[in-house]
Amino acid sequence: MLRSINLSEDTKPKLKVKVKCNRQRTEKVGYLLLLPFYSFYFLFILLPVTAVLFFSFTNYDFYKTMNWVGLKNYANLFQDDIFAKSVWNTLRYGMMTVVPQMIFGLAVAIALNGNIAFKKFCRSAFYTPYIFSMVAVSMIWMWMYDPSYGFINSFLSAIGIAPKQWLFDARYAMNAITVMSVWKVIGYNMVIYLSGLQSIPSYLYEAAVVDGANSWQRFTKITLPMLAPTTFFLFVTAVINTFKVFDAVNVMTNGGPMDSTTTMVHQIYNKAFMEFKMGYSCSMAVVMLIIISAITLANMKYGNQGNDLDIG
Amino acid sequence: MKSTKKNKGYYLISVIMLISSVIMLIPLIMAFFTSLKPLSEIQTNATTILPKEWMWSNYAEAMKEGNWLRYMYNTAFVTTITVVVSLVINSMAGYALARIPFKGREILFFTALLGMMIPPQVTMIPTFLMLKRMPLVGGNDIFGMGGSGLMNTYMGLILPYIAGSFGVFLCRQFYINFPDSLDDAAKIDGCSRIRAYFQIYIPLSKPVLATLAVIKASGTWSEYLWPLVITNKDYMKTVQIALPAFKQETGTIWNLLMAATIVTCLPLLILFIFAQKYFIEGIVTTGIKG
Amino acid sequence: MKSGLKMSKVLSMLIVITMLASLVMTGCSKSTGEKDNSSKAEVQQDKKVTLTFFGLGQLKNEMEYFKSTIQKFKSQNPNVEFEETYANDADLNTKMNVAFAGGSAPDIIYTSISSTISRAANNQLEPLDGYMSQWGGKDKFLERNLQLGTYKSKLYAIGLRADPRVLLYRKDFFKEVGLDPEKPPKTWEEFADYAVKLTKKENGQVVRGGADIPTTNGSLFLAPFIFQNGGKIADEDNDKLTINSPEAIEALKYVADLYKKGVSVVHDGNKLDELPFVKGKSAMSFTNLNSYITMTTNDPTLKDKIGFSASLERKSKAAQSGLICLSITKDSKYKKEASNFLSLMLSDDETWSRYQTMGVIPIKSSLQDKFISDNPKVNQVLSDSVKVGITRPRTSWGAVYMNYEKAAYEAVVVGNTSAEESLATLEKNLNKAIQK
Repeated sequence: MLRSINLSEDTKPKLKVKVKCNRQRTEKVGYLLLLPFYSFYFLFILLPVTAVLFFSFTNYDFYKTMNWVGLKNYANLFQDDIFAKSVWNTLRYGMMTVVPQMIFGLAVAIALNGNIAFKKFCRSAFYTPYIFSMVAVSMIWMWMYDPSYGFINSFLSAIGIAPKQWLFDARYAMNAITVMSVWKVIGYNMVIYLSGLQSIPSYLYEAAVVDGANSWQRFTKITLPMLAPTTFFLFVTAVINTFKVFDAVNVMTNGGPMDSTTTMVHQIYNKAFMEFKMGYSCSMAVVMLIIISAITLANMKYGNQGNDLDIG
Repeated sequence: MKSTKKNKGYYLISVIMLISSVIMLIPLIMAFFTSLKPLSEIQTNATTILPKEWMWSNYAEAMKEGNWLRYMYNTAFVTTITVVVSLVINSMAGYALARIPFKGREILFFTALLGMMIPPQVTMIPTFLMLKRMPLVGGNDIFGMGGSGLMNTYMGLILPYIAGSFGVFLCRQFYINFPDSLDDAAKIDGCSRIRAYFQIYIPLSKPVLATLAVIKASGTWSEYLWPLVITNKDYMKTVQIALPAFKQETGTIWNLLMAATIVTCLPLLILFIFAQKYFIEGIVTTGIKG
Repeated sequence: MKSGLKMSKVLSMLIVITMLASLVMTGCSKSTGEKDNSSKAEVQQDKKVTLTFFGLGQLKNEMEYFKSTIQKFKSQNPNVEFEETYANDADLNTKMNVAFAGGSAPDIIYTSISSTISRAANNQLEPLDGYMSQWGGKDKFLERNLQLGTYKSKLYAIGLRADPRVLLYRKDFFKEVGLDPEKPPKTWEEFADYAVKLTKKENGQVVRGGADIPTTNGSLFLAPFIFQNGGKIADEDNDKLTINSPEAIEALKYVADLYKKGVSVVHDGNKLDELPFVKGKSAMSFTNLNSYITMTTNDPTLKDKIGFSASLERKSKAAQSGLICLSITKDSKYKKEASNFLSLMLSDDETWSRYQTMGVIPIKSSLQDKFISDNPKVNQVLSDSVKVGITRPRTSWGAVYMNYEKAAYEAVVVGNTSAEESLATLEKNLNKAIQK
């Protein structure tokens, strides 16, 4: 990684980010520092992932049968309509949750980073939804969405909007789950952005003010670029968590109505735990891994310059 | 979002954020009210908001369902050890990946991310088998047969958590932002990488370490699937898998469930409030005027 | 460099401390070293035996009943130790899957019939026909009960707790609209007719439903209608799907037409504790006894206002019946002791005791009359329902089928697909799925 910040009298900071790895030197101490974590990671995560990869080429029935079937599971996957639907639902869910959560998170972090009243209370308020388990949150929101007794429909009726059937209506169910999910993770994004904001040296802003830059310019030319690593981090973790969405669907809609909310992990779980098709389920997991890796790699190559966000 | 006049901006943003905060809390406030209602009010008429009677006794009653002191202790112990170990090994690894050039660094980094990309529902099976068949523990012989391995142990709960790469990723991104001149200056002074890490980087790492601690703690505390699978005994349960006890076939005991849920979230909230000062008092203050 | 060395010393110390801490934690572990069944040798009568029991723990008094009965068994058989695990349906399923995969399957399981049958189909359970003589012989049990626990002509499950759905209705609402509160509907026509009469609407919204027809997860509501019309969801002997039949089409059409008349408050058919009827927002509902208990516990004045009826009838009667059953696993090394335990559970004394403490319908034919005379109003209805009880299809494809069935119901009842098209699609999708 090559990155330089101009520390001279030049007050307009320039940022250069190169993603190419510097292969000229190898300082072995790097391996040493990496070793403790990587030992645990290799044993307890990498090996199981390899096992899952292996299972995907078998007809493992979660019990005693495990025979090699080659690419048969993957071939079947391509003809599986419900799996295709779940992939589409998951991507749709991702598009609706990843960017909004980051934008809201950044906005709240900036607002609560400055000198305003009740800062501590507000930060805690935004973070608290995140510490409740997804299961608990899903149950609470399920009530709120209840077409007859829920708070949301009562509120809407009071202000003159027709009540909707939310989780029972194929048009709204996915959106309803999306709103709940974004609500839950705004606090997480806020916290990460707050920590990122802390690491931006104040002299950069001071120099920019001296130079005559207004707040918008300071934001786009200093804050956003300096937050690029944080933004990349949040984007990748948001994508990963999007694909892993399970509890919300399982508790609120169980994949319905009419398969409009079934997600990839929901399918993976059903196939493995209800139908005992563990081999097939693992092939789904591998496909999921490939998709997420592709998205992550694309972002590493092209998105690391920051400035992906356009806050209007 | 920002205003150049201090007074206007200050009040405007304060008010907006205050209102937004309250809106954010609405679902949780409703959960809180639910925790104070008698069950009959919830089961037969779900439209009231404020409880007719404020039954604080629900909290005591919820805590009597099972050995909650033990569950809290288990969860706290597992979370604490996980967070402490993670802080050490993840920041070291993140520093190495961000600041030290070595062959294969990018590949190792990407491989570390792979673990997060597979759903735990499938990886937990091989992990379970591995921990159950660990040789020479829990009554197992040298081939890992005959006993229960690391089932029902703290180790069994903790090991997969400290293997998580979330913290490594977070620390790497944080350390990437430091200027090269820092390392150059350290090198000129004759500082080794490791010494630079302890003497320069760690003191500047309060924000990321506080963040990592808070988020890792929240994640570990909320774990459900893994504790469900690796523990069978009541005395090893964590708070999350003790909560479904309130979902009976006759109907969910909503008030007690909400009360217990709130109790289980309080420690994390306290941790967050406590850790906040590390977010505010970073070593470098930001210059965004508000 | 001296300082460099010092620093790396500190670092290596840190690493060592981390590793040591991990070792110390192993010492803190409280594992008792449960015995793994897969490595045990043949067991003799007097040797110490540990039976592992996995059971549903979603009913407090049931869990307590099991705990006390297990104590009883242990005192009668001092060489037997018991390890019990209780959990709710989904969690128990997860734990069982992991246990079977890991070679530490339990000896005895107590779970829902669908979970049991899918495990029988996956070769995880022991056929019980041979043990029947120890338990008193097949004719001592309710015939229907044994039928429901059979898969591919072998008995795998003994239904310990039957949970039939009956028709509950509000007598006070009946009176309100001029219907005779002592005459619940008996035919499809009556049911539809009453449902429409009993519905109350305000501004086009249903404020009180005439009947509870689910918007989603309606499979358990629909199934009895198919059977009442003479149809069958599956031909269990041949493991075939038979739902694509004129009888089922007619039943599905009937339900969809009635739903579209707007007689129901929107709800999820699987969430029995959130039924509009339980919330006082509808007049009729096919649900189980728990709903009645919940409503009358919270509002005792409802005791006289709720009426019971067994199933509707067209060409025959049918009622959806949940069934929780005991089974012995194939891998168990202690089948003899497990059978002894089941023997105790299935004895007349224990069966009657379950009725007295939990209100569970006795599954022994000899106890039926005693049961009915104890509380004729309710128990007669329950007994009738159990005799015509139906469960989910007891086939090898039962689990796969549920999602397709759910979609087929929604497409017709809520959506605009025709019943013929929907059931044809269901058949096609299922056959495609089971061929893989």
